[in-house]
Amino acid sequence: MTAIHPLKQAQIHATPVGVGLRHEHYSAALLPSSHSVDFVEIHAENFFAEGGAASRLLDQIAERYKVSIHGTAMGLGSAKGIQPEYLKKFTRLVNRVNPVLVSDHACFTWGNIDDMPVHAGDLLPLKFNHATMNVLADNIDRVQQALGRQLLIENIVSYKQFSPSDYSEAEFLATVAEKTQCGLLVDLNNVLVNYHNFTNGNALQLARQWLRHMPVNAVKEIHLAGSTPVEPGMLIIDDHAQPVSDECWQLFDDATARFPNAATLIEWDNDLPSWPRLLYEANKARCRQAMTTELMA
Amino acid sequence: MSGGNISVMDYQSQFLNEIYHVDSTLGDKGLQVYQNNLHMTAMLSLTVTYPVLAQMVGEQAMFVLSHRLLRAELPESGDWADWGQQLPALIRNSELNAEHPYLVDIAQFEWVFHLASRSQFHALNSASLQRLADEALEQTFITLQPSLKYLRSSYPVHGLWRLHRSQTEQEVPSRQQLENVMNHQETGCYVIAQGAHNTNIVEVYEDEFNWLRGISDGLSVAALLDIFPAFDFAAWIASAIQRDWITHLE
Repeated sequence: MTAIHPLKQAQIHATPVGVGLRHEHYSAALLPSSHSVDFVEIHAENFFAEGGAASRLLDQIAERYKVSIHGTAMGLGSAKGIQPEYLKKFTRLVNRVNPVLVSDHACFTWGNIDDMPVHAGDLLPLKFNHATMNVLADNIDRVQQALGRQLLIENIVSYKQFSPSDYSEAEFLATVAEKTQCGLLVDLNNVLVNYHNFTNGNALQLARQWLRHMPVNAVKEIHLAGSTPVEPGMLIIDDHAQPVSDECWQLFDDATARFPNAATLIEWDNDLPSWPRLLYEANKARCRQAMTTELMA
Repeated sequence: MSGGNISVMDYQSQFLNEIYHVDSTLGDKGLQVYQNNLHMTAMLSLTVTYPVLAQMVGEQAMFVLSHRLLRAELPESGDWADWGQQLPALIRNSELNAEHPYLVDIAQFEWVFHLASRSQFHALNSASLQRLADEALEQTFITLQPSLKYLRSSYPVHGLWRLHRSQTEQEVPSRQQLENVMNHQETGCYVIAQGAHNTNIVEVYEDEFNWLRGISDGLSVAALLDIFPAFDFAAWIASAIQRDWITHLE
């Protein structure tokens, strides 16, 4: 690792690196001896309870770390709209924590079955057409109005392939950012997994092209994650159960160069490593950022 | 999915319907992924909400129960912690009930605890206690913690709950430990409420249980004392305050 010039250090500090804080790490992360990170990301729904242990824990986390709130259930592309009670809870949480970033996904989650409202419990893919664009933009507007701040929208993994539509995924995200002034959260592993699952080309090359469609100023955060390898012919599942892959690190170098001001987050949700091991991954991201910055300088 | 002309709402509801209701085992790999995700998430969330039940019946049974529950109770709030209320009823109508009839009560106990443990605690308005001195008891009403719930069981559910909660997830209580709990006499009346520091479970006797029901039914202190003339109100209110059960008098 090359020594970093102090001026560069200041620039690095301006692009924070965080980790996803999950249940298994709460104790370790709150130990006085724990090394710190620039921020931690919590899943909003885990802290919707009005009282009890989760609520007290949130106070401790917010006292120790800068917090990013990541929704996993808002379903911003749902034609049924975002349920008022959900938005109320989400807004209450955001107002309470005053997070550094707030994000959710370009997906749908709510719909009807036999005229009964239902939540998918998953991030379901949108069709990238004009009608869906209008739904997504309206919902993002509504949430940003409710929150009184910018929301970041993340690209998801889709396990369904659709026939060509009005936009590519990258165009769709860029357009919605322009229409609503929302920010973008680019999940690099999701881009790679989609290309691995549904194309025969070089996933890394395709993902690099995908990144070039992203408006530089709109991308405010990058997610890094790893997925469990699968047998040929099987779909890779976005399980966040592995270290960041080499391929994803390579794509990160490109993303860092293109979006030098975007925050970075290591996501690891299943088969979790130790807390120090997770922080090591964050440091690795920091080092790669620094090397890219050095090269660009 | 097919048809470029179907509305966004139709496409989304159709897709949801496929995930919840269509048998994908022979075909669509993508649909299988969404269905597997749904079933695994449902099982995990049910295990978080019902940890004691999960220890008692094991992972396989929880998977089957969560699968069946998805047909009976659709998740709709976007927060999995809100899902699972109908599990006790589902167990009552399942094959588990014949051999293990206490499971229904355990599930009911855990659901009530789950709700209370996520509720906001309301501190006592001490000034309102002055009503006992200043106002007629006919015009004085006790307000309990909103999270406070009471329930009955003919099984030693509190002992079973404590025994399993004291084990790690992988540990199973010994036969001797279970026999000790089953042979221990409990009152059969339980009060669960959010406290200032913890969610509290208190075993109470029949008279206190009925007293609390009277409060919840909206009876004034005077009316309660008419119905329960032998009840030691002075001792109870001191104890209820200590237990964080009361928010104010009005």
